[in-house]
Amino acid sequence: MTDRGDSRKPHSRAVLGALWATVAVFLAVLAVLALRVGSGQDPALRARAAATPLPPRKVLVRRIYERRVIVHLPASSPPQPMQASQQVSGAGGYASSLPVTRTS
Amino acid sequence: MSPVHDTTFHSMGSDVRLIIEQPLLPGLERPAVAAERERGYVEDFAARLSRFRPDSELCALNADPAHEVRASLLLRTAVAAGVWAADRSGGLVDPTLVGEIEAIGYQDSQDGCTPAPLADALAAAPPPRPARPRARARWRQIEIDHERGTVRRPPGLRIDTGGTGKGLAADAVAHRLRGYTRFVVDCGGDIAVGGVGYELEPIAIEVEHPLTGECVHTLRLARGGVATSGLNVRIWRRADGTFAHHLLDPSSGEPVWSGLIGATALAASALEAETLSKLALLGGPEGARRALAEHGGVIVHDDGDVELIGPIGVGGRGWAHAIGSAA
Repeated sequence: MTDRGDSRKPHSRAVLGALWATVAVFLAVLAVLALRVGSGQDPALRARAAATPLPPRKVLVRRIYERRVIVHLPASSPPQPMQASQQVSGAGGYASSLPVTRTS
Repeated sequence: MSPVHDTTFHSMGSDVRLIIEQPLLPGLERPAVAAERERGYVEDFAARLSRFRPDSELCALNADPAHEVRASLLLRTAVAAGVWAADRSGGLVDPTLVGEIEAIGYQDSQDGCTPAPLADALAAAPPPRPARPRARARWRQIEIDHERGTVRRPPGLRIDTGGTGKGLAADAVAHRLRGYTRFVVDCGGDIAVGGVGYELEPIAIEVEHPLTGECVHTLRLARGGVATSGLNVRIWRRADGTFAHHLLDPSSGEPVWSGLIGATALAASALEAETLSKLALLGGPEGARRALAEHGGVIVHDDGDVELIGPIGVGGRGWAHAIGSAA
């Protein structure tokens, strides 16, 4: 009976040692991970970021159109009066010619 | 289509045309009656503000030796418009150049006079140079007091409201016609357009070339104003054989030869359009491009070339845009 008690003691001591070793390893790994996460080197995030392709950069192209119309009129051409704007029509008629903006 | 009343009469030294459509609200006069009423308004406006009529309110103001002179609402408004134009143009459209313009030979109305050939005047003109404002702006000394009903200015400082008179008259008549579906008030080419009908279907307005009389462009206007300034009508030969016209460089008091012979401007009102067209012509090509950039316009170079500027040059921005070019 006494031997049974003696033989159980080393066994429980080994189990206890393994348990402590496991806890120590776990705490060590946890400390390492905590340090890395704290310093911004989260391996999960880095892997995720590396796996996500960057969206293509948008390049905005603006085109400015300037249209300049140069009308060449022969200097020798005789004056051609525009549509008559002196015409008088009474009510009930319709505007007979377009308004003209000119030097006055 | 709605019935249109379209009438033309002579006033302010040029043709005035009124196009009026049906009233928008019941109770307003028929377009023909409204046109006759507005004709009376324009003729009264012209008589009271004429620089050439000794009995006009403007001449009475200019002759009054007092520093502060009583003035009617119309005269105060016309003087205020002249000061506004001077301020808007940085002093280039100056309403105080009466002595200068009389000195170069424009003492009396040139209504009905045959203008000197512009081509001859251009051939004899000095190298182009844009106008500049007077170093000491006299127009800043003018004060309008609507509460006291007076105008204050140094005695002897004469005012000419003619540079902005047609635009102001067009705007005033347009304001009086605001109850009609469509209306066009054309005071010698300074035009105000209004009415809900033109908001829906803008009116076409032709731009006349100052050398050939041809239509060089067609604008489309829903509301606001358009005006043209040019050298081809008020131009004459002086006794010494040189040519003069009515658009003066304020810095020299002499006619400006800026490289442009005509400028058409679009704006929110006829008064502003008239101011911008004068500013453009006085400022030469570069000044005109700046002056007309916002609302758009047309300039005619002294070699006859036509250039479209601003919104009308790129087509269809804002409330006024080009619908075509009749080159």
